[in-house]
Amino acid sequence: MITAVRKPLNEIIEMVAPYEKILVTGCGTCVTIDYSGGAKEAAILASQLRIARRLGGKKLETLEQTVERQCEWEFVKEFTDHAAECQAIISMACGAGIQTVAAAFPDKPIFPGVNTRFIGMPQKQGVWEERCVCCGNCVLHLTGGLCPFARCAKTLLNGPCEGSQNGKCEVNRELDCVWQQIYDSLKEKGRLADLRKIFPLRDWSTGEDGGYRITVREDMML
Amino acid sequence: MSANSGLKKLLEKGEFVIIAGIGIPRGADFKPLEERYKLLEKKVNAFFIPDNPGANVHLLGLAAAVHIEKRGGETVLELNCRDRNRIAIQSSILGAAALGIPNLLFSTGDHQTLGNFRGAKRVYDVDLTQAIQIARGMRDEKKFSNGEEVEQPPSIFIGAEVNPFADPLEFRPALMAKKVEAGADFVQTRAVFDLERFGKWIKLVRQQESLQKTPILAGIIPLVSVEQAKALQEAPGMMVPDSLIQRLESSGKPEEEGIKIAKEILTQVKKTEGVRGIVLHAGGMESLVSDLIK
Repeated sequence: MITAVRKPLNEIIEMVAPYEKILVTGCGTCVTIDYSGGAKEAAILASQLRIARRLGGKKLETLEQTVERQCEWEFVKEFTDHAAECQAIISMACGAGIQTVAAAFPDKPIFPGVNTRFIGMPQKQGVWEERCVCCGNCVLHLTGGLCPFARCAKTLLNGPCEGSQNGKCEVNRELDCVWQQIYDSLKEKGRLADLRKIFPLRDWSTGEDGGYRITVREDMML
Repeated sequence: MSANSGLKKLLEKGEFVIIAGIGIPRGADFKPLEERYKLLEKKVNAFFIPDNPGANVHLLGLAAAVHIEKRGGETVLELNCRDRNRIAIQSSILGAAALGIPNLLFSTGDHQTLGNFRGAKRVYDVDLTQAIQIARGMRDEKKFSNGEEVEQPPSIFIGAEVNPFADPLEFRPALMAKKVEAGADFVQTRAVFDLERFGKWIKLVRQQESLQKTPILAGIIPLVSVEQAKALQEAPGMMVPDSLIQRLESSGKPEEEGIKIAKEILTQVKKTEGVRGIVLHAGGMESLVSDLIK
């Protein structure tokens, strides 16, 4: 899933300060599951903003609306009526959702209510970990099912680096060294010989280094 | 090939080489470098020029290396993968070779968050093994990494950073073998403090047939205070035994004790099969290192 965290309240208060009526929008998919930007979090934010405004002696009206997915035109269209009533929109979706809403309502100022963090998974209750950086050319079959781009701070292909000790990353001793884990995983699978080969240079242009990416599926086009 | 490298010639002759890791200034002035160079110029075979060590800004290594080469000192220039992509690595190799830098030491580079510029964007386009492979290809096959021809191949002696103190220990010799297969002519270790661990690593390395001819240069950092030793103990990839810190603590003169420790380590590594030289990291302690070499 895509994970996010709510932006600090003061930052949002400052962003929407010029407006008296705003639409706070939640997203019903990833950010609902990770408790950062679903219907409940949209309601909490709207109420915090109203309280803050009132404490400052001013008035703020809010509307709240959550749709299934903010990253699809069909769903964000549902905001049309509420958006027309408001001066600005806060989107609590991930960056993809925020940009879809922004594009759908070009006359309205749009404000992010969350900071989108990563594609990951809940490791345990309350803890999410990054797992994928959408590199566009998956190597998980070569690395024991552990991603060196998402989980190695140096995106090494011939790791571990010279700073890996006791299974931990040099960047932060709280983080596991993924190359130690890759080593352990391939050892367990009897595939250590794979790690003795030199991984060749990588073409990073399939990822974020090739300009923003567009997938075209002609078989899906109408 | 690497015709210009005095280091290569000395190693081929079987001589034990002494390299000084020189402290690079953090200002636009060669004067501090000059002073440090003069303290060591007649005592060492070459100078190791670190590349923005600790992910902190220093004067450009290439500039420092050229300055020393002009004064007659041979240099080993570090090129890390943290700050350069494959375009910059290849252009640095060409530039260094054209300026007469005979030895290049490739490293991964301390991660940028460990230094004083934590918000910097990473590069790590190529890793250390791949950087060596690129350098070797440019030199021996006259090819850039994309297959295009190099007009004039660089004459360089290629080194690789290795760390006996990093994990997993049992995989470290295989990692070193990958670097040698990629094209490393010699390897340089992180600073040795833990002789027991160093011994275990070298035993595993010596068991690999492909590594028996590769010269190993052992890194040495003189300990001068309890604080410095503790900071090194905390630094990633380092292994400083508590017993050494206790020795510094119980000594009235930690600097003298530190020199004694450095001499013990030096004597021990010199006796170790496969170790063909040392890199004494002076890093601003050039006067002390000068005394140590005596």
